[in-house]
Amino acid sequence: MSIDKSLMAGSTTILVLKLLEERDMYGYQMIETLAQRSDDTFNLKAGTLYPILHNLRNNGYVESYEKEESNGKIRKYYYLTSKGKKLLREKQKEWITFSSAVNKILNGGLSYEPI
Amino acid sequence: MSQSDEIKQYVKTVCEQIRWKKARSIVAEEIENHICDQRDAYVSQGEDEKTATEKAILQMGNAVSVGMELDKIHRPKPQWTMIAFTGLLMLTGILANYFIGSSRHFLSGFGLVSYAIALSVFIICYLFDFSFLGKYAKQCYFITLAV
Repeated sequence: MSIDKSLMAGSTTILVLKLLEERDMYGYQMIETLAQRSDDTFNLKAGTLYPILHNLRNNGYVESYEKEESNGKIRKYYYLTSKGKKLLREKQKEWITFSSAVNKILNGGLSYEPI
Repeated sequence: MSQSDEIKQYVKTVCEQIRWKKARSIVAEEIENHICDQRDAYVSQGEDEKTATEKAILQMGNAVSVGMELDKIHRPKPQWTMIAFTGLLMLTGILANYFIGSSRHFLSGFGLVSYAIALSVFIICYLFDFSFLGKYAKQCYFITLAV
């Protein structure tokens, strides 16, 4: 099932931050990992990812470095700064509050199971 | 058009939307690498190179809108030294006017008003998005002719 664009736009930043918390990654790798882990629910377009990444970098939440791969390709890896880690914690809290409130209402306040 | 030309054309269109030229080369390299990675992945899944390239470019999204998004993010930092220098020159002008010129006139408000106008024009010019002139080039041309 494809997800509504506006719903996706609100959660992409937190997903990117979470991936980078685990390890340094380059753009293509992030899209692949997100698709794999979500069973292809999150099919993020590269054209959406790079503006988000560059914006995070401009605001000091992530930093990047270049690394030459064994096949000679030079790739730009991103990693979380301490400011970025803090943002992730805040966004996670916000997400939990938001999603549990939505679930509560959808389920008539009975359970958190999806309908 | 060969496959690598198609990728180059896509990257070029993205970069053309970014007004700050210094940011273009950084963006170009990253996007080109990304498309190549995606193409190679499709090739390894059994696609021929042509289809793989087309699918990889399609996966990127519309070149113009991607470029415009990146343009919003990549803006040159304000040149504070130049701004401070202009401010300093203006202040020197005010002081010189006050001490040397006819201070009577100055205090009556005329001198100060002209500086206030100059400062407002300066701020407006600084904040004005000049790409507007390019967008409405024809209208601007006819307005200028009319004036």
